[in-house]
Amino acid sequence: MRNILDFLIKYSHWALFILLQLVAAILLFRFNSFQGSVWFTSASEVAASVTKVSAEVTRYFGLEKMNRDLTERNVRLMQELRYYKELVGEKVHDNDSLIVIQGMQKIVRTDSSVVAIKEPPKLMDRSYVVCPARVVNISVRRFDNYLAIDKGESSGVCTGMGVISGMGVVGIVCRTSKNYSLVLPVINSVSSISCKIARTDYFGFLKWEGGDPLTAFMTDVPRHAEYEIGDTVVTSGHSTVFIEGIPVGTVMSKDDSDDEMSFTLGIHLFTDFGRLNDVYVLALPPREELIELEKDIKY
Amino acid sequence: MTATWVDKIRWFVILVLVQGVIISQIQVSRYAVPLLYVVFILKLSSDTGRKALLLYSFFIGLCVDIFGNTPGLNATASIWLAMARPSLLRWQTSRDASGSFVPGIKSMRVWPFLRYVLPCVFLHSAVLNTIDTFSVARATDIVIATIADTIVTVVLIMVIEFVWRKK
Repeated sequence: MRNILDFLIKYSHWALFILLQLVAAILLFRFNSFQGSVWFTSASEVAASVTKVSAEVTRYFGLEKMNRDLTERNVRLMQELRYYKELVGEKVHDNDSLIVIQGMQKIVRTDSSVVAIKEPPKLMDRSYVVCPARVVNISVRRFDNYLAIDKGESSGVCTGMGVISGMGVVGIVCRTSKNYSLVLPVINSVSSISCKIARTDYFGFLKWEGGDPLTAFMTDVPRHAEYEIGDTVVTSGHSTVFIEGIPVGTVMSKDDSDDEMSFTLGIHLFTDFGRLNDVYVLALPPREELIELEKDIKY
Repeated sequence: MTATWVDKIRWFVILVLVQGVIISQIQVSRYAVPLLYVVFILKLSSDTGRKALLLYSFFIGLCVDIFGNTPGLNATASIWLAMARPSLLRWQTSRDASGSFVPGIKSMRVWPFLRYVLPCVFLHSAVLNTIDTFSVARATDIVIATIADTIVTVVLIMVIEFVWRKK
């Protein structure tokens, strides 16, 4: 008996090791599920309030580039605005607020500064609200990347909302705390966002398989789809997360899928996650009927 | 790093913040991430019990995980290191193992300390990278990342040790 006790005491660190290993394993595997606690993430109140301070400091180093992007974007928006003024034949005030936007136009991006507009905007039947937020923590190097933003439940952000930036689509909110949220970006291996080729309206899913944070893939594109290298890819608006027409990237290359039933297109993403600072959370009015319907047919 | 609680907690907090807030946010390269916080585990006093070692390692790993959105990843790698540390330390100090000491260049001289740090860091980053990219198809990625992480981390630890010793 004494020997057994001695043995147990001598090797009790093994028991502790196995126990801790189990806890770690549970944390590891549980985290991959889409919904879960915000507790052990960078969007938890304590961790996010710490990284927020460092994010505020590092923001200043990117200001020059940010300024250049904003100027570029301004020029593009001014060109669009002039086009619409002429189209509508009405005088539009320059100081119109962009808090509530109605509808979005199809833009074919031919060059970084030159924009050709394919067709006049269709006004959509629902408007959506954008909530500006700042990135407080982001990873781009890993296989499963996440980012934390400084808006949470207290600002009306909830899971399943879309996140965009001035550059293009960013991702989907997956966990929220009171003042912060965790976002599952395009550059996460489990991310899948419905998108389409802007010019020809063919659909596919935006996926990412690790590696270069600027290169993603558009899978399940039908083999008869018409596209050209350089075509713009935008969100399809089929989900309740994103509205139609948010820029995603440009077509870069073509591959056969494994089963050779569809194409997989290489996509050069517009959003550069390496220098992402300001984002917007999209709050679309809930489409209960659609959500209910999708629940029913899930198998 | 003396054994007082205040010092330990201070180092714990400093290393977690440096690792979680500064190092992980500077995206220098896709490979080669310095895992500086490991120094906390490596420099615990030689008479630290195995169970205490495990708990310290687990919690510092978990704290780093929270900042990196990888719950369980660094914690796992750290407890593996904690299990291996006593043997690796004894292996380098078998001849003059008298009393307790804080592993370092001062107490162990340069080469034994390097021979203690290198396998420790290698084991830690090997476990970390294997779990992080768990797929056979990515075996080469795991090897490259492990070697790169090890080199960067060991160099950083040795530089800090040299600077410390001069003080």
